Formats: sequence, structure tokens, C-alpha cells
Amino acid sequence: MYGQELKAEFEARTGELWPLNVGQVYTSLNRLERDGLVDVAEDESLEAARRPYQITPNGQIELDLWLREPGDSKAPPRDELVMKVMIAVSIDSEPGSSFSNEVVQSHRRKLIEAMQRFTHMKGDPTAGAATLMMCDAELFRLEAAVRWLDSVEARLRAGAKLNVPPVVATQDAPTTQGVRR
Amino acid sequence: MKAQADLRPSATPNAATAAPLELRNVSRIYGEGTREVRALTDVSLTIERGEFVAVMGPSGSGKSTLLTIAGGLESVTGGSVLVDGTDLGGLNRTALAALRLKRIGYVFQEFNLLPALTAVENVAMPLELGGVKRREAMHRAADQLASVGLADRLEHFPDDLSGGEQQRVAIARALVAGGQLVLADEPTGALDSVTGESVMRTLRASCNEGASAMVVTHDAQLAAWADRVVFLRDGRMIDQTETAVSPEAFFAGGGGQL
Repeated sequence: MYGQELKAEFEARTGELWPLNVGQVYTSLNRLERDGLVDVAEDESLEAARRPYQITPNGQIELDLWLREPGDSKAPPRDELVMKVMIAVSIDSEPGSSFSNEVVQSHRRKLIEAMQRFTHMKGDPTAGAATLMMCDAELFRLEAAVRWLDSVEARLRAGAKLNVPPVVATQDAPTTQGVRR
Repeated sequence: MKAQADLRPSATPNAATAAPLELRNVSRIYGEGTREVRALTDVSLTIERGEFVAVMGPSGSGKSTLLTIAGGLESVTGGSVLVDGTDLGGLNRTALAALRLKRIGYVFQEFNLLPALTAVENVAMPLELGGVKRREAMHRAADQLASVGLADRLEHFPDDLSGGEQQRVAIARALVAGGQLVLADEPTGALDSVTGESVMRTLRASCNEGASAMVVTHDAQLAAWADRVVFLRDGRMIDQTETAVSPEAFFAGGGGQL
């Protein structure tokens, strides 16, 4: 299989959610070849794009393991939405302020709008199985974020506050006094 | 099924051009004095022909009250509700019941089909209650069931149908009188996600063919099937989505905004 074919197949199999650039594909193929996981046709007279690749027995074993591994799940990914909401809650100290709720709702609306777009894709009668599954994956991911926002709102209603511990001021460092809203 | 671009409230009732549902500054208060509970405060919402609106809110946000008020099952304490341009507040009990039967269909979480009647009999019931002869009622019910993909389930009893099929029977029953305004309360709440999706596809397709729907839910995946999502908190409409996708655009494919 050629690099270009590989790129097209990957995209078709994953609902076209992660477009690849061809350069990236060849970089990966070179690394796989170095590790003995793929073989490339010996014909040196052909340029890289013309040489077909083939998976090796070791590559098959590695592929099987790779498909079953969830990937690195130890460190939570930096989630911008979570970060922004937590900052908003932490600086919203005035009694009766609706600032946190406004930030939560702003994110909720945008998530729902994104969900509407994926639902529209699903609603297309010509949508194939890959598209349906990719849309489902995105919808569950977005829904999880909406549900997290719902729980933040419920906790705020129940009186939750993020009490930021005062930073222990070192000799010359400015304190956080005056930074809070 | 052309949606009216003019969003101003029409002064004269005209079923041909009026919105299927219009809530004008609707308020609902329960109890009095210190016991007073404001379930809804100044809610204004218009649902156009062919439009599918979802109302999202947590328990206690007033969304179920909004639905019962929209269907004329409960009265307002402020503002007005218009169905096809007719102010429900101006109707006597008999006229209100007749309008409800003819213009509005309900879909509930628990399907609410009559277990002793077959699918086609369940769907024919609102027609027969409205005075349609049995033979015609059964024919129209069969057509309506075919339109929700249940042509081969006419003689089945509710217990012999899956949850998703029962809910599609309920949608057919809601639409059969031709009123074309469907009010639904968590219609997929009792179903798994793929089955729930088949119900939402059915409702979506009905709206594309000119029906209108208001669905109240706390479920984001369900709400995402709507053209417009309205957010309710403490009885007030606090926000709504901006991406109003027309029913025509819905099946036009694309999704190119991603």
C-alpha cells in the first residue's frame, strides 16, 4: 500500500474526523520501517511516494496491541473548558453575582450548538456507518461536557464556593490581594 | 410548509398563517402570599410551522409547566397562549377540549398507549373521539402509522411492540388529527440511545413535512435534534441557541459548518 492510499483509507475508516497530511504519513511510515513494523519495496530507483509498504508479522502483533490500548490516560488532558469555568467560579466572589452562571451557560449553549451540527450530519439519510459512529463519539463527548456544566451549576446552587487559599507571599512577590473581583 | 418570516404576533386569528404555537409573556404562579411559587415568569416563545424547538432545563425549571400550559391543560396567570392564532384564554371548556383534540398531540415518556387496543386502534382513537367514522379513522390511522415506519405493526398490541415502536405509535397518534403540533415530555427518557434516536428521527421527519414540535427535556442529545434550543431556569427563558437551522436545510446534507 502506498502512503497516499494509507491516508485515504485511514480517513475513510475514521469518519474523516482526523484529516492527515501526507508528509505526516511518510514520517510515521519511516519510523515504523526503522522499528521493523513495516517493510518497504526495495526498489531504490523509485521515489518515496512510489514505493509500496507492507505490514510485517511484528507489525501485526504491535497493531493488535495498539488497538486494545486506550492510550495514555494517566494525566488528564488540559481541558480548556474546565479550566475557564473553574477560573470564572474562583473569581466570582460577590454575593448574588450571576457571573459564574453566565460563563457556564455560554459554554453550554456553544456545546449544544456543536451537538446540533453533529446531529444534522447524523440526520443525513446518506450518512454511512463511519459517519454515524464518528458523530456518536463526538456527541457523547460533548454531552459529557454539558453534563459536567449541569453539575457545576447544581453545586453552585447548593452553595459551593471555590475558596482559593491565599498564596503564601514570598518576600518580594506581589500578593493576590486586589486581583479578585 | 413555508415558515413565516414575520415574527410579529398576528392580531387576527388565521390558521393558515398564524404560528402553530405562540406564548406571549406567559406567567404561572401557584399558591398565594408566602406560599407563592412562580413556576413561569414572562416566557415568550413562538414555534413556526415545520419548526422543532427543544426546551432544556433541570428539574424544577418550569419546563413541564410550560408544556402543559402550551397544550391548554393548565391556565396561565399572566400573558396568553395562542394555538394557530386562537387565544386559548378566550375559549370555553368545550371549545378548548375540541381544539386540543384536533390541533395538539401529546407524547409522554411512558408512551401512554391503551394496552387493550391495537396500534392502529390507538392511533384512530383521537379521530373517533372527534367524530370521525370508524372506517375512515382506521384508514387514516393506518396511513399515519405507515408514515412513521410501522406499516407492518398495525394489528400489534402495545405489549408486543418494542419501546421505540410504542413511542412511534404515540407520535402517529399525536399527528393523526392533522393538528400538527406535537408537545413531548422527555419522549426518549425510557429508551436506550439508539432506539431513542429512531424516535427522534421520526419526530424530525414529521417536522420536515410540516408538523411543529416542542419537546421539553434535560437530555442534550435529544435537544440537539431540534432547530432551536431554548434554555429555561427558575421559570425564565435565559438563553437560546443561535444556529437556527431550517427544516429545509436539515436534510439538504452538508454539515459544512464544521
